[in-house]
Amino acid sequence: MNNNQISVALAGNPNAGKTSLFNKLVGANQKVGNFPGVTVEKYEGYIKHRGYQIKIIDLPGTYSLTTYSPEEIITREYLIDQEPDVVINVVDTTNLERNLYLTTQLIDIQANLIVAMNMYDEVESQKTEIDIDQLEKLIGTHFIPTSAVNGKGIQDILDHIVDLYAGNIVIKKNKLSFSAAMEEYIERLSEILSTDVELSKKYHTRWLAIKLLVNDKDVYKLVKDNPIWIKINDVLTEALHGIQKEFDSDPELMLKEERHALIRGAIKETVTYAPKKKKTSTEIIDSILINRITGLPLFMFFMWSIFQLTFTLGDTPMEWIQYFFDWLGSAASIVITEPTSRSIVVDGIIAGVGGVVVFLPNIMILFFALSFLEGTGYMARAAFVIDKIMHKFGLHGKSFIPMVTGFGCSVPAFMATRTLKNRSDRITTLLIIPFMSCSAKFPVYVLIAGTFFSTSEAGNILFGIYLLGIFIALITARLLKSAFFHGESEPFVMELPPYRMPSFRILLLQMWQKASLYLRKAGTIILAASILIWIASNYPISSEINSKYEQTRSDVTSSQKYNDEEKAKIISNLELQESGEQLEYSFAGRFGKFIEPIVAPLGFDWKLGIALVAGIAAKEIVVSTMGTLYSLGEVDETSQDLRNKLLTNPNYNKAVAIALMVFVLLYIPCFAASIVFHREAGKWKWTLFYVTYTMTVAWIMAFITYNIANIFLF
Amino acid sequence: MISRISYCATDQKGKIVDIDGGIGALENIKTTGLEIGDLVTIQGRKNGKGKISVLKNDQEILVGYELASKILIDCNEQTLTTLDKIKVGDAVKVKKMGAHGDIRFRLLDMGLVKGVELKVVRVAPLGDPIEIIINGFHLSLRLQEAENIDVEIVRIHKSNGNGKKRWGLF
Repeated sequence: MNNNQISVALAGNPNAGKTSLFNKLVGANQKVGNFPGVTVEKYEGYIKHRGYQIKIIDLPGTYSLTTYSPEEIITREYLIDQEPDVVINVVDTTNLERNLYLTTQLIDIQANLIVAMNMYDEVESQKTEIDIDQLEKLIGTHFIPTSAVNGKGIQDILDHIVDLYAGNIVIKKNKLSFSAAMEEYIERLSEILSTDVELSKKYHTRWLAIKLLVNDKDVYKLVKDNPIWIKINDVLTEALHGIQKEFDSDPELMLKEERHALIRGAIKETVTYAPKKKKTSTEIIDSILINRITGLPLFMFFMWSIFQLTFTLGDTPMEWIQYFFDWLGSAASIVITEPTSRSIVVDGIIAGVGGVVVFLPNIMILFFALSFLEGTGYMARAAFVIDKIMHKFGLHGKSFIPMVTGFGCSVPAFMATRTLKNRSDRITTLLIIPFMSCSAKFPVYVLIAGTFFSTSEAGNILFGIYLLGIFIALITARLLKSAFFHGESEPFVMELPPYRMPSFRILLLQMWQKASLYLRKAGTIILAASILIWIASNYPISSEINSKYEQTRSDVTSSQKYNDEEKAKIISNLELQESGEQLEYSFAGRFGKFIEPIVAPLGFDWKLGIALVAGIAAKEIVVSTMGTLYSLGEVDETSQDLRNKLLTNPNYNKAVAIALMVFVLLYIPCFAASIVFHREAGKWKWTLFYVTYTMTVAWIMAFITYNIANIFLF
Repeated sequence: MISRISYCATDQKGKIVDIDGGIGALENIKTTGLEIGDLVTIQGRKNGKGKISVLKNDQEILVGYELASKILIDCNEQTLTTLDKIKVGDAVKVKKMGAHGDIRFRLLDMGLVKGVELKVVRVAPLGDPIEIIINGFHLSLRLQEAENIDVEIVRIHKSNGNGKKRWGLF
C-alpha cells in the first residue's frame, strides 16, 4: 500500500451542505459512478495536499446509521468494510441537534472522526455562539468550522486529514456513555464478543454489542453464525428482559432517547442562541410558496415551467443536433460510394449516434432544473404539496416530477426517478412512466386521428388517449403496490430544509455529470441497438426482388414511350416500391408478418405489425415505416398521400384507428428509453416485467377498444 | 391547562374560557347553548367519528368537530391526544411514539423522542401531510403517521379572533 495515499469519506445528513463542501475540497477533480448493485450515485474526488494524495468519497446523505434505506446501508457498509483512514462528518451547524445524532453513531463505530461544522458563516451571521472547545470535550472528537460559501476551514480540514493520518494528532478514542444500566449490558456483551478473535479483529465489539441490543438484523445474523452465539444469547436475552422489566421500554428506544438526551445536554452547555428573529426568510418564503391557497397553483406553475423549459427550450438545440447529423449523413453519403457501407454508416451509425445525442438537451435542461429545485429546497415542498393525491395511488409526492416529464420523453423521466429514495416508490414510478404519452407518439396520433376522424372528433380522441394513459398509469401504480410492494411502508418523513441558493457551478457540474452518465452508459448500448435494428430492417436483401426491379428499371430507361422527366419519376416510384418490398422481406418485415396472427384480433394487418415493430426503435418511425410500406418515400404525419392510402384500404376503419392509437400509447417505449429503464431499475426481473406488462396491457386495451368501437361506430 | 374541546379525552372536565375564532364562530357556539364560563364534561365523539358530546349541567349538547376545536377550555389535568388532531400553531410535547416498523425508527432518529416539544406549522394545501417544527428544523409527515404519536398539549395558539382566516400562516 502506498503510504502517501489517504482515503477519506464524507458522511452527513442530507442538506448539510456535504456536496458543496465536497466540491470545495476537490474542485472539478471528481467522477461520478454508482455504488455496486444500486442506483445510488457515488462521487469520488482527488486532491493533493502536503505531498499526500487524498481520495475523498462523498457518501450519500443519511440521518442515521441503521439499515432502513439504501443510503444508510451503503454508508454503513462503506464505513465498516472499507475502513476509510479518516471520516469527515459534515454537520449543518445551524441545526446541530439533529445533525449530531449521526455523529454519535459514527463514534460508535470508532471511525477516525473529524466533524466539519459546515455553514458556519450562517451561524456567525445569526450571532449564535458556540463553545467549540467544550463541545469537543463533550462529544469527544475534533470540530472544525467550515463554510462552503466562503471557503472557510477547507485548509484546516485538509491539514487535519494529513495530521491525523501521519499521527501528528491523535483523537482519543472516545465513547458515548449511556445510562449505567445500559452500559452494564454493553460492557458484558462486548467482553464476550472480544473473546472471538475473528469478530473482534474485524469489528469494534462495543459497536457489535450496541447493535445486538437494538436488534439489528445484519449484526444479529453476523454473530449468530459464530460459535460465540451460545454465550452471547444468554446475556442478550437477560439484557432484553432486564431492560423491559426495569424501564418498561426496549433497548432500541432507550438508546435512541439517550442519544438525543446526550446531544441536548451537550448543546445546552455549549451553544448560546441569539434571540430569534420573528420570522426567518424560509418561513416567509414558505408562507407564500406552500400556503393553502397559492401552494397548489404555484406548484402547478413550477411543474409546467420545468416541462416547458425542458421540451420547448430543448427543442432548438435538438433541431441543431438533428440538422448536424443530417448534414453529416449527407456528407458521408457523398464520400462513401459503396452502397452497403454507405448505408451502414449513414442509416446505421450516424442515425444511431444522432438518436442518442438528440436527447441530450432535454436531459441537461431537466437535470439543471431538478438540481435547482433540489438545491433550493423546493423539491421537498413540491412533494409536500402534492403528496396527498399521489399517496392515494400508492405513490410518493416526489413521483410527480418524473411522471410529468414522461409526457415529454421517457428517457429523462426514467432518470428523474433518482430523486426517489425508496426502492418500491422508484420501481413503481419507473413502471408507470411508459403510460404517460411521450411526445414522439404524438405524430402517430395526429396521422391516425387526422385521417379517420373529423377535426373536432380528433381533438376529443387525442385528449381521451392522454387521459387513458394517465388512468392506466394510476391503476398500474395501485396494482404494483398491492401485488409486489404490499406492506412495504414508505414513510413520508421528510425534512423541509431551509431555502438556500445553490451554487451555479455545482448545478452545471451536476448537469454535466448526468449528461455524461447518460452518454457513457446508456449511449453505447443504444448505439449498438440502433445498428442491430438497422441490420434487421435491411437484411437479408432479396436479390430476386432486386433483379426484378432492375429489369423493370432498365426497361423503362431504354423505353421510347417516356421523356426523361417521366422516366425519372417512374424510376423513383419503382425504387420506393422496391424498398417497400425489401422491408417486407427483411428480418423486421418477416417478424411483422410472423406476428400478424397476434395483432389480427386488434384489427391490424401485417403492415401495421411491421410499423409497430419498427416503432420500438423510435415511436416516430411508425409513421415513416408506414410510408415505406405504402411506397410513398419520405412521409410525415400530415402527408396527404399516406392519409389517402390508409382511408382507401378496406382493412382499416375507425375501430382499427382507435385500437392502433391505444396500442401505440401503451406498448413498450422506444429502445433508448428501455435501455435507460433497465439501468435505473437495475434488475433483469424488472426489465422483463416492464416488457411483458406494457405489451400485455397494450394488447388487452387495444382489443377491448377495437371491439367496443366496432359495436358503437358501425 | 388551556386546551381545545376537540383535544379532550372522554370524561375530561373543564371550564370554557375563550373562543378561538371570529364572530361567526361565536354565534355558532351560542346557538348550541354553550357559553364562556360554562363548566362542562367532554364525553367523546358520537360513534367515534361524529359530533362531540358535551355535558353541561347534566344536559347533553352536541357540537360539530370543527366548532369544538374552536372552543378553548381550561382543564385541571393534562390533555392527551394524537398529533394528527393538533391545529396549526399549537405546541405539544411527545408523550409516546406509538408508530411501528420503519416509520417508528425514522421518527425516533429525527428526534421525535419522548419529551421533545414540537409545533404544528402548517397543513398542506390538500389537507395532508402536515408540517411540524422540532428542534429548530421543519419536518413533514402524513396524518396517518401523526395518528400514532401521542402528545400532550403545551400551548394553544389563539388566532387573531377578528374573523380573519389564517390561511396556514402562523
